[in-house]
Amino acid sequence: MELCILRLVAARPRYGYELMTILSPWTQLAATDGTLYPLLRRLERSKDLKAKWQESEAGPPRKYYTITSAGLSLLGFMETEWTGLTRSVEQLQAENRQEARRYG
Amino acid sequence: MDERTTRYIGELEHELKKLPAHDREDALREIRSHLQEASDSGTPSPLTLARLGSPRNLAAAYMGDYLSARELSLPTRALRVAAVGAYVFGTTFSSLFVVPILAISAFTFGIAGVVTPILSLMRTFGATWIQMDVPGHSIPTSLSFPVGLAIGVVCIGIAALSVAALRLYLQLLVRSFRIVAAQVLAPAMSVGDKSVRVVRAGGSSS
Repeated sequence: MELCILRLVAARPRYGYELMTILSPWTQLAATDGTLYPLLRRLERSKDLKAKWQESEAGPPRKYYTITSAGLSLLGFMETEWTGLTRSVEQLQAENRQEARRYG
Repeated sequence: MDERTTRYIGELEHELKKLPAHDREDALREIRSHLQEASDSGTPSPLTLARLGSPRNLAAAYMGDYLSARELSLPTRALRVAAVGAYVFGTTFSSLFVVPILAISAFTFGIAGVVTPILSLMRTFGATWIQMDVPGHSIPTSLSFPVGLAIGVVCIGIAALSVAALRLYLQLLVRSFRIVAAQVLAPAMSVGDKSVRVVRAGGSSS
């Protein structure tokens, strides 16, 4: 979820409600509104994100998040980790299938 | 804003009261903004509130971050480290006495527990050089083995208790050190996110 948020914010400044509407269809991410805001706050405090309040033409003021250089390096690190993780899972599954074929 | 939403915000504010005022206001403002957006887009407020979770849980998620050690002031941290130091010093000092006393007790009574029955048996069969006296009068030769055996059993019992006590003492000591190290010392010594940053820097350069 952290990775998704960083990537979304890296594309352009986003606010909480917007992130929520993007993330909520993906139930596997276990993103609920109740986890999103504390997570945003944590990323802001660790200076991976920067936040700014902005008035909107229609509706309430919004807290927009932008990514910082620290956030970008964190994003890079997490993406490398993620790629490694998915690759090893895929490899493991492929080996499993081969083995199943051999003994099946 | 309907009554339920107002009550929700009120409860959240109450739950967040330990946060610095500025952070609390900011968090509440953001949640309010979220609730407003949701109601503007036509989401029924009970659903919006349910998605946020109870004020208590939401506040706990916010606080989790703040309770970590870097929020502790320097004096608090110093105090904690000092307390741990005193604890370690105190227990080490007490170990200087407790451990040898228990170990010597276990050793001595263990030997006595084995030797006494053997000697008493020898006395039964005429080894007159062995003395078995209770203050006042001598024990008859015929009784020397039963008495020796009883004394031996008592000695072995004391030795076993000493060993058990020593083990328990050391176990408790190790466990308490672990707890101290994990819960008090580690957060008290932590310097924010530095360690994470180091890992990151190493990871992204490779």
